[in-house]
Amino acid sequence: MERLATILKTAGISAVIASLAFTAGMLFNIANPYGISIKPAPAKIITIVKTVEKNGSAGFKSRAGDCAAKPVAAGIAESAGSTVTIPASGEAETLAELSRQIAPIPPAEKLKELPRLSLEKAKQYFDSGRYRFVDARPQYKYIEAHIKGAETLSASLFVKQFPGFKGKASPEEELVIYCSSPDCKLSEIVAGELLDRGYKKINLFEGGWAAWEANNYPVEGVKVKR
Amino acid sequence: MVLRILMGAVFVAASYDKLLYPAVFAAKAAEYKIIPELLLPLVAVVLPWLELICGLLLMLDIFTRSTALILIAVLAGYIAGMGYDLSLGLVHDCGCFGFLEESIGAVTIIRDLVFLLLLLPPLVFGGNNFPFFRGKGN
Repeated sequence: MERLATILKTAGISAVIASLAFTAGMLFNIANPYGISIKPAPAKIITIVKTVEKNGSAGFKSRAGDCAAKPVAAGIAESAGSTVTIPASGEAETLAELSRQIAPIPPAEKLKELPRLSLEKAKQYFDSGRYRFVDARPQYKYIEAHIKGAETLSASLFVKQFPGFKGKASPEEELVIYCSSPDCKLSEIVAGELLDRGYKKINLFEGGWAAWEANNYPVEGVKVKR
Repeated sequence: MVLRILMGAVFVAASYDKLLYPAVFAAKAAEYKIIPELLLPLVAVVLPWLELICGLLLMLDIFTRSTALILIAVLAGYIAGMGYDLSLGLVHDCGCFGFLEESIGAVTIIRDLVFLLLLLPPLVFGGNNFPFFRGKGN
């Protein structure tokens, strides 16, 4: 009986501490200049298994296999699980998006053909203002700091972010995709996904964020000192 | 006592960056497939405070047993989240300490397991009192 009382007391105090943390978190979030909206974006959960039955499974299996080879592509990996989350939009659009997810991946040759930009060339393109820069790094890195004016299209959250990106950038737009450094492959993954969705004018900035930041070129983000 | 202060400091340190930049933490948490999307903002706003408050209480030996229970639950959640993502073949930033750039993997899981084990003595043998009320049969 005494033990039960101890357990209940421990659990009760834990609940009070958790409530305190909840209140403190909410209040601080209001005061914090970097606070976030608590209201989540509406999302639609769709079971992909049904779609696979409609469209055939060969393409899907190929994607799932590819996913294992590229573990960073979590957004794509979601297709290998039972569900895919896509922000609410038209039903037709959603089905089209799912069809794209199970379509064959563009061949590696197409990726190899894409123009590779040096730092100087990337800066020229940036200054011209005609090119949309796309950050393929994980979203949190984008939030911390990114090339000024760049859009986030993280390789790991591509499926989730693409509908928003599509609203801003048409397939005819000139894109410059970058990731962390010349060694990272995230920009190629994102470029492949964009090629798959009809974007043709894609450039890869090879030096990426590391080269851009090292040269003190324009950047922005929550961790950029103003 | 050393164990309490050490573990408390670990959680206070872990909370600092997450607390200041909830958007960054929310983006890191979004990589964990175990967290429902609906709860992501809430997790990003509340979890750092839970770590901070529990870390401080643990260091000050206030409600030690309850704070240890919460932190064990939090660590179990981290371990489950990392284990689930690794089982899917996903490797992403741990988000454990804002000032550390580290990917999830065996090292982070083992580290969290060690932290969890280190919290067992405070849970089992720790008091559950507020210092000002000690000696009053509380």
